[in-house]
Amino acid sequence: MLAGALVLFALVMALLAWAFVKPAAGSRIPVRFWLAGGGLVLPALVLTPLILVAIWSGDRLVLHAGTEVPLRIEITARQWQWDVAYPDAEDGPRASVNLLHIPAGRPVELRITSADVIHSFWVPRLAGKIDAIPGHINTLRLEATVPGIYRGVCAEFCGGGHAGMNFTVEAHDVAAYAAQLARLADSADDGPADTRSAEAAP
Amino acid sequence: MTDSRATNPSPPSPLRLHKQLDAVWGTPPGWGRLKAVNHNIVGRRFIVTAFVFFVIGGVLAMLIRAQLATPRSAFAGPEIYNQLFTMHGTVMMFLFAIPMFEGLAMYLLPKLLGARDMAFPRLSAYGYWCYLFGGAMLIASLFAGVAPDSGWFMYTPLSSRTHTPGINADVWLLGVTFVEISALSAAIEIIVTILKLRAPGMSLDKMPLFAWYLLVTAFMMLFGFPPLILGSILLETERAFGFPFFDPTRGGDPLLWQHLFWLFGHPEVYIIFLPAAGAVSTILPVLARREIIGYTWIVVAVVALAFLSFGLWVHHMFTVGIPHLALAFFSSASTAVAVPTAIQIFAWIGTLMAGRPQLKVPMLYLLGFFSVFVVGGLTGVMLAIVPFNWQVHDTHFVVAHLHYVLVGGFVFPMLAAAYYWLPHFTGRRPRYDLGVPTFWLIFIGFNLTFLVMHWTGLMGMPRRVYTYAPDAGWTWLNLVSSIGGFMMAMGFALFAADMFLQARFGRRGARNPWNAPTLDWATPTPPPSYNFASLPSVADRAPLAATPDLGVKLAAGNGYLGFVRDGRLETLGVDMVSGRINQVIRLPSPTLLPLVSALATGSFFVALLFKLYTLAPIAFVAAIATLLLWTRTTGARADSGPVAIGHGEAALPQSESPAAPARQAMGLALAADATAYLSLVFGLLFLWVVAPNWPPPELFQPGIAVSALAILGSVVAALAGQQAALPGSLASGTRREGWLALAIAGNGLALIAWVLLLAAVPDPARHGYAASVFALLTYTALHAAFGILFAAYGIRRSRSGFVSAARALDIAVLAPWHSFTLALTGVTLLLLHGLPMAMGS
Amino acid sequence: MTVRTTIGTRLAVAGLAGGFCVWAVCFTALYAVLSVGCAWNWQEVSLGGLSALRLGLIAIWLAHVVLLVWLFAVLRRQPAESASAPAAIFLRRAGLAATAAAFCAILWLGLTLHTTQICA
Repeated sequence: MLAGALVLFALVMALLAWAFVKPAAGSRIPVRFWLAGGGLVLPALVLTPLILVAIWSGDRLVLHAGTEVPLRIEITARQWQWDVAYPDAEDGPRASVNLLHIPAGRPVELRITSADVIHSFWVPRLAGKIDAIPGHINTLRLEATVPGIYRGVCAEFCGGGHAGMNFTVEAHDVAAYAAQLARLADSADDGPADTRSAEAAP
Repeated sequence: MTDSRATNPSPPSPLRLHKQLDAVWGTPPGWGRLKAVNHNIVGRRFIVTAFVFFVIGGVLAMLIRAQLATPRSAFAGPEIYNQLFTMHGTVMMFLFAIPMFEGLAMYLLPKLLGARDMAFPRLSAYGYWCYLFGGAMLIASLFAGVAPDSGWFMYTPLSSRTHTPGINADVWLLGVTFVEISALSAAIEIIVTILKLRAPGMSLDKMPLFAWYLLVTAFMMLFGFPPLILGSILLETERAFGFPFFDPTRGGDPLLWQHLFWLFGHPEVYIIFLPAAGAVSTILPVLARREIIGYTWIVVAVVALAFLSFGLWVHHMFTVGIPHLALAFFSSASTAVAVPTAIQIFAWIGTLMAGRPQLKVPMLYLLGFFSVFVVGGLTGVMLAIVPFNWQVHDTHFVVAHLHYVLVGGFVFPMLAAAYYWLPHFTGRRPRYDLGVPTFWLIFIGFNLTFLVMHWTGLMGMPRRVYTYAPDAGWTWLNLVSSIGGFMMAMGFALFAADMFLQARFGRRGARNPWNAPTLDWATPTPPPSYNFASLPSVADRAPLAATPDLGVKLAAGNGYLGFVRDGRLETLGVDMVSGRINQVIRLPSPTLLPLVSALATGSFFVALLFKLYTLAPIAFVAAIATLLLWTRTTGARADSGPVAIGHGEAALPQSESPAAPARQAMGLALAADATAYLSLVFGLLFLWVVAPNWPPPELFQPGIAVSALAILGSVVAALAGQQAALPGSLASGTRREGWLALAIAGNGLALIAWVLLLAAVPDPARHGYAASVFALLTYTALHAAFGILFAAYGIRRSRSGFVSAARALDIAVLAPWHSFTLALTGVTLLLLHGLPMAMGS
Repeated sequence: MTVRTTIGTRLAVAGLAGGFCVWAVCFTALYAVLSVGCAWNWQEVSLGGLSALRLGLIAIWLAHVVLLVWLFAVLRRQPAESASAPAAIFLRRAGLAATAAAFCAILWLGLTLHTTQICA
């Protein structure tokens, strides 16, 4: 898209420059050339493939096509922290705060909501953002292909602590993931062992 | 066309004619200035005030950039910073952009169209005062430290009572709504002026393109602003009385606010862009020394843009979890708007290529517009692409994009317009010593600020964070943005100085320094209060090109209405399509009433703001009462028949014309009213389908007898209102007053029914359903109440001798109100009875 | 004279705004039916291999396409006598162009109707 945009921008600028360098250069070009050519044909040629690709890739992102039932994790945003619950963990439910553990190499389904105002869950390197809205549960499927640490932020303005509402995603390989979950407390309220809030607010 | 015919028998000398006209059209000096209703003065006030707000918004922007220049800055904490960016957006959108174009439109439109003033000068003045007072309210809150701080789109629940307990959000909701009164009144006035107050012979196809742009823009405002106004009222009701329209725990939904806001918010962008594009389409051909190519293409493109722009509001909501197919609809419309925009861009390029463009200062700013706006347009197409949007939404990429669109699409064309029309405002010759360095400061400063901001956003910096960590990797990008921002600010300071110096010390020049072909340059400069000493007759799109000395001829009284009749302010009204003369419109003299009404309206809003709920209804009644007082000086007490207009022709006065401007204005006002009502209906249906915690604990079953009473009353009122306006009834005082009395009775019955129903509604604070039902009933009941008032007003006008078979205006203008109320009655009752049935099944 | 003017005004409005009003109604109807349909699981009702919701959306879309074609034909058939004045010629031409543009916009909208999922 960037390359295409640069080409179109350069085209417009070149035409403008030409108009001043060689006045009346275009006086013999028929009006229709500009209006139908520039106004209709050009955008049609650019936009049609663009929107088709967009719909197709949007579809793919929504579905994460061709995968088994993914692992479910529940996330509740509140001013100004992220509560994570793992209802499907092997030894009973587990919880963490501002830290999301996921297995690498398989899709995960996050079910996201909010306890107060609207927030937005965004891990730039893993997926697009999805809003956390009170009264609604939004789902986001994402997959970390390799284990590692990914930073996440709240992307929707949510009041005084908005700038500090960061979190961390840790992707583990499958074996390490189970061990990690076992080490978590079974509820976020019980003074969780693992609340390394990434980049605590200043 | 009719120039060859004999002119007035004895035209006075141009100077005498000027003195006679100025005596009736002029505004008194001193305190008398508060009475100003003349479009020259009100238009200039709008422009100057909007510029002052622009400076305030700019200072806020500088404070934002000062805070973000370095990581972990201690300059402003989140409490202050959140007010800064909220107010920056609010001031720039509502207090600068819209009023600036309204002012330019008010000043220029009558001149471009060949008229002496706007259709409703007192409404212009009232709109101005509402804008000034509403804006002052918002700015005052800034100094008191209680400015709105939930972002300029005020997402709830953040802006709800729970999360913003202070007065901050109320200031926004009430202040902006107060200001929007001026936007709605300007919309109606602009439409009627363009459709009816043109020079004779100016058929639709000969109208200047600027007028087409403003016509379309005004229609967009008419349908775009009501959802916002309604949304603001609902949110204020939730904050003040706990009606849970947006509270998900009680059957409301925060997404409803987003829909109502963006239903206004996206068209708003085009409402801002189109007038600026109209200025481009006016200035560019003049400086290219060639008529613009593709007139019809452009008109169609602008109409298409207007419609399409109402189909993309959800692209601000791509991340709220709406089904992908629905996103695809909005993505489709969002990409489609690129087509009419491209048509305009290439029409401008083609005009430049075919002409011999001059690189004068306005042209320089137009080139700035092209380069900046095209970038904004291209990133706009990117944002329309759903997967890309999911990544960059709510980051600084969006901030960069919207500034490219709005500064490129509005500020640069307005700067070009300022340099282009300044000689018209001042009558002084244009000078360029400062204009060129100003341009480069603004242009380079702008691109430094916002070009790098695209990368800041792509690297993951979210919007609206008051600070960031040093290791985030955005440090130097932000510093560059801040330096660029201050450079741009210096540019604007230089611009203000330049404007002041030129207006104050420029050398007097001849009229029409650009050899422009449009009628605005046929007035003397600076323009006299009455614009044209006599009104031109137009035969093509470039009247001044065909008759370069048209201005002199008009000043000599060679056109229509080149005289003063009985101290009246007169201009001509024409048929909408053909431009044939069909009436003489009498305009009001300077008066304090608009100011008084605006003060009463302001008291209403201030009472609501400080929760003085006993004072509020009093102020409301006072506002309505003073508005009704306006009519005391309008209308005629005797039939006059056609009056002479010069050139041996005659036309009916508007009080006797079936095409009177007020009748069209009523139709337009009802269209806006219907839009607000439909937004409310949408709200109820939306909550039903989408909101959590439905169905409600208690359903409301309206009684059959009461419903029948409401229908009966409304039908009687509508029929009686229609009957009163028929020629047969108008001829007899007793008959027309009898019908109006019946309309009062009908509306009264309906009102009783509505009050009974309102009393039976379950507690509206408990659930979004009850709250919506309560709102629907109140909305309809208010219409019945106003129906009583309007019919009573008709009786009073009839008794005072303003009505006859010929002078139907006072009765006919209000007849549609009762029919409209009947339609509301039908829909309201249908929903009240239908919804419980649908929910029960 | 009044009668001719009224027809002229109506034609102007129908031409310039009519086509896009059809587009707007189609757009609104598609969005509304989709939202309601997803809320009440109409996509799970199958009619001849396609979900009832998708069929409904396609039907709505087709109806509006047909309506636009009809509007275009009506505008084209406008008698020549009303097209004698320059204003009438302009309005006729602009009206046809706007209706054609609305037709393209509605086709463009139709492109979206074949996404693999409806309610996800």
